[in-house]
Amino acid sequence: MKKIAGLLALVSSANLIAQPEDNAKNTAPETPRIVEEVLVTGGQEAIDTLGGSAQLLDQEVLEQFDYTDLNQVMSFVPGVYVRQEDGYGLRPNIGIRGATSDRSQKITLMEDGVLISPAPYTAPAAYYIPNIPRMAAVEVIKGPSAILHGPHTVGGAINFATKAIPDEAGGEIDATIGSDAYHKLRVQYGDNSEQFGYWVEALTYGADGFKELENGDDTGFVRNDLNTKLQWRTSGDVDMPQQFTLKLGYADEESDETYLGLTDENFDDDPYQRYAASQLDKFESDHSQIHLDHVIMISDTFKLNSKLYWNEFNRSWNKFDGFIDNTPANTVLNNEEDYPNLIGIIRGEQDSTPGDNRELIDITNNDRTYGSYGLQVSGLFDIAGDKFDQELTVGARYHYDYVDRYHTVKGYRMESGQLVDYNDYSGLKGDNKADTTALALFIQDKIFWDAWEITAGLRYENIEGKFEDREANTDKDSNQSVFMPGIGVFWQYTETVGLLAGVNKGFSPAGPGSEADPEESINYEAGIRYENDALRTDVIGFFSDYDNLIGRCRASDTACDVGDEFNGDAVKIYGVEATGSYYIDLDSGYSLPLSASYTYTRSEFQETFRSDFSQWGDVQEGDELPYLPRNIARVQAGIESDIWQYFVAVKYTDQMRDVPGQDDIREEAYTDALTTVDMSLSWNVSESLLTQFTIDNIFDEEAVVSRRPFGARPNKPRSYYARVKYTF
Amino acid sequence: MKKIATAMSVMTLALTMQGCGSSSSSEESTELYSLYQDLADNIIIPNYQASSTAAAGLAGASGSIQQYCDAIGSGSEATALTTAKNAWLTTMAAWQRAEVHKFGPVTDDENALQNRILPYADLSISTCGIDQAAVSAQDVSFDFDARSRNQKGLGSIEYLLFNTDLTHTCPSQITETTDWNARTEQERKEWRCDLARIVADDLSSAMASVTTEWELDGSNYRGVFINPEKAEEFLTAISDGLFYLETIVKDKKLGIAMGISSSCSDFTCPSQLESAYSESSLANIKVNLESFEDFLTGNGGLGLDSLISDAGVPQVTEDLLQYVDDAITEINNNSTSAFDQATEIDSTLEETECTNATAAPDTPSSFPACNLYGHVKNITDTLKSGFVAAISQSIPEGAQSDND
Repeated sequence: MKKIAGLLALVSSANLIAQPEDNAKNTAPETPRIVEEVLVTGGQEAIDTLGGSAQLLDQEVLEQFDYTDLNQVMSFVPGVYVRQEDGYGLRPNIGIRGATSDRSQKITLMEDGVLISPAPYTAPAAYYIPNIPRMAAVEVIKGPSAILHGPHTVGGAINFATKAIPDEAGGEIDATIGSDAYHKLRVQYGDNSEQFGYWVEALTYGADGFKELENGDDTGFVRNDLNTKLQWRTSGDVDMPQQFTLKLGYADEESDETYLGLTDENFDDDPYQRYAASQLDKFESDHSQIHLDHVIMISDTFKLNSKLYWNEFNRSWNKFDGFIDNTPANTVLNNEEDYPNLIGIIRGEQDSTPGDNRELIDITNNDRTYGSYGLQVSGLFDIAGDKFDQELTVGARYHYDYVDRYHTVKGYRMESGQLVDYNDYSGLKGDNKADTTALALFIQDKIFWDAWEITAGLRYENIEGKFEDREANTDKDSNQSVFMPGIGVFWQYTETVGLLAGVNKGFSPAGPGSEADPEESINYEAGIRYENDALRTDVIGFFSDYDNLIGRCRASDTACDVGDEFNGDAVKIYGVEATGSYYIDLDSGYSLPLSASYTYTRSEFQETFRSDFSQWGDVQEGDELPYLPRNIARVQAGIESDIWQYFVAVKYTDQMRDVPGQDDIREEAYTDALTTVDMSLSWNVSESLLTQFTIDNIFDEEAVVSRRPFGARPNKPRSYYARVKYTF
Repeated sequence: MKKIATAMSVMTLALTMQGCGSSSSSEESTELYSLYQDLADNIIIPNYQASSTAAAGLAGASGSIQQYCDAIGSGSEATALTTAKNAWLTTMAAWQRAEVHKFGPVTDDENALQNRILPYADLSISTCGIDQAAVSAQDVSFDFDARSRNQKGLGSIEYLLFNTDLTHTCPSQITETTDWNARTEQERKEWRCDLARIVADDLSSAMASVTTEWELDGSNYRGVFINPEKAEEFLTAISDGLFYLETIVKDKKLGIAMGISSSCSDFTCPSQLESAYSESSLANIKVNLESFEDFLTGNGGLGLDSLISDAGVPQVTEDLLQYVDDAITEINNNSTSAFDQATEIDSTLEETECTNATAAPDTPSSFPACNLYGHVKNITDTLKSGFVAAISQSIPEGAQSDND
């Protein structure tokens, strides 16, 4: 049994997740440090015996390719589906076990255990996700364990664990340059004393973009991120050691990103061109956060953790959104023979006819402010018994979040390939505010008995939402209450073989004022784990039985208003996910680490219906869900020593349907199957100097990775990166 | 006009029949985009193109009306008049097909184009106004655009070509026509023909405008029609358009004219007939019914029957087609014009026979137009019940809320 006391460690918390033991700096301060509460799984050891599925990607893994794109990072994890969009992962579309990947809205996203989506209850589409380069680890939690991390439990949760304050003075300067003027500079420094510690990090990265506009404008992005942690802890041998960690963060982004893709014909000609109609598109955002974390060890067997948090996110996205008379861009791109004038205008090859709103380009600025704050308190009790031990977690969270939308539209004429504003049209597309107050209570008991570990939990959510349409001068209220039970069992059958099974209720709330039902499912999983000194593998089957699947309209969807929700009725999703890692020691200072992950997924709508939600449309009983690949896989091999590390990874994503269907997928609108190969070569020049050279997509594979929001979108072409990291 | 929105309540019944809106049919449901493409390409645009072509043959310097004008007083006058009349009948028949899809450009600006083509649904022609215009048109300052809509379109041309009575229809205080009846027969024919040419030119221009508005290489209103954002709006418009059979064909063309409707205070009101002068009222109705049938069956492409089938009530289509067939058969078997039938009903006995014929349309009567009313009523009753409910299910459902 793992004692809480073990969490009061003399080792650096950062080392728990960041560095191999032999690299750890054995210079801990005299006062024992309490591990920062940045992980939600308890680490790899806890995951190994978890009665459910979870993965931990530690800093060692994140460093292998130094990915900044969360979509790329998630390729390590089975059961996680990614729909690429901009090629840089600026706004990832991630789903877990069939939960829709659209803007990662059906998964619970956290930073250090704190809800981090801009408004996870009110508007869960994740237009903000923490930058990967400042993370020490990423955790993915699925199955029964996910009920600790609501509100979205239908698929699972992702937690981003930030770097811990170092034990002694030290820092890093980390610089990368690459294709398309890619640049990344990260500087961090921290120090620790008897009672105080701090850490500060500055990050900037960006690129000019790999797509090209006819007028030569950039299509890239720049992100800046400034974060600091301040820590105070009790000194000496006090009865109840405690620690306060204050984290302050500010991040901003400016990107020339668009929703506009290409027709298939143009994609075949040049997948990296961008139409003239997207030349004004720009996304601007800033994110501020204040998180205060408090841990107190009330006794050797009782730890109390409190998290007080405040986040604010402002964004505006000025972008092409079709035509003023509402002819959808997708309709024009998919049926250019029906709209010869409009496709010509989008491309900049034809001028708009003055006075004709049908040919006036809609440039909409979706200006929004999001905010969230709350307090989460959880207690962890270690209960030792004669026959079995228990680890009891009891917690509560009060949370409030909101989104304030002010969407305006202007009409532009296309003239000689340039968008020109003649003040032909301007208007309001949405002026509303929605907010949610939510109380969550959760309890989980881990029972350790002989070779068994039983995890049983219950989550309760009471969600009160309000939607105020200032344009229509109407209000709507909604209230949802739900109990989410879950139980998982792990049986260590032999020293190397373990079996697991679990079931939990999945839930994803409907939005404030929504007339749609909440998304609910019963999720089952069962599998086997094997682990010896060299090989670690698990194979887990899952079955998600949705009582109701919710579709949510985004600005990019046709024939619906932003925020409309649609009942998808019953859906069944099932599959198998497998991971494996094998470590070969060559006895010559070199070793061969091999790893693989694979997921097979099938899905079936259980009802026939016609939906106004453009991503569903006409659904027949038995249709597969769109954007859910049947097969995804990653195989990685490497050779490494203390000086050199070389890795090559092959990633495969099966073709995906753009709309529901059950016929041969090639007869329908689909994204391409894509196999890409990445490699990285690292050289530890000295203990403090690392150089790294990576190539993404070595064979420069081109594919349609998405047909959303508007038209065919390409993956990132072959890209080269050179990195230097200096540690001091 | 019956709005589909108001008929939504009927949907409840159908939803109950269909298990809360979810059909268990394993057949592929109809793609609305493809349906609208087919309706535009196989019915709507061809109807406008045919009308435009026919009107072009009627109008212009080489059109049949001008040829008749030129032939007045000559030996070929009668032949030229017959040719012009036939050209008008062709144009009218072509437009009658388009009468059941009155939405889009033809109804823009408060029916501006429709009023220049055929304003019958809203008002009858003003024969006195036309008589005045025939005189005024001889003045070089004559401004046809400024004339009232009841002097324009196919109805006006019909009066000018088919009315054999050259006497004006105005009261004595109308100055323009005070000396009309004193003019020679040839002069009155020529003046009426001159006006007919002007009206035909305007008619042809209006029809060409409607066609160009819809055509892909014109203003491509087709693109608006097939726009998925407007699928619900146009499904309502299509459904409303088909209720032309109820509000115009049944209630006005037959109901008022044959005295079945209380809006006619006499035994019958033959003056309310469409195309009374050409005695082609029933032929018009036949074309209306054929066009309705095209919308149902798709005329070679997807039709509304596919939506009805998706809703799980294919019997509705079968019933409608049967009733349409009954109505057309009634017209085909009848050789007496609606005008003549209407004028024959001048007693309570005949009125009762007509009323009975509407209630039992399959039982032959002396007034087949009254039987026809009954057959059309069968169609419109089915439209109001099963059809609207089935079509309503094709309107995608969404629940309003907020999230993105």
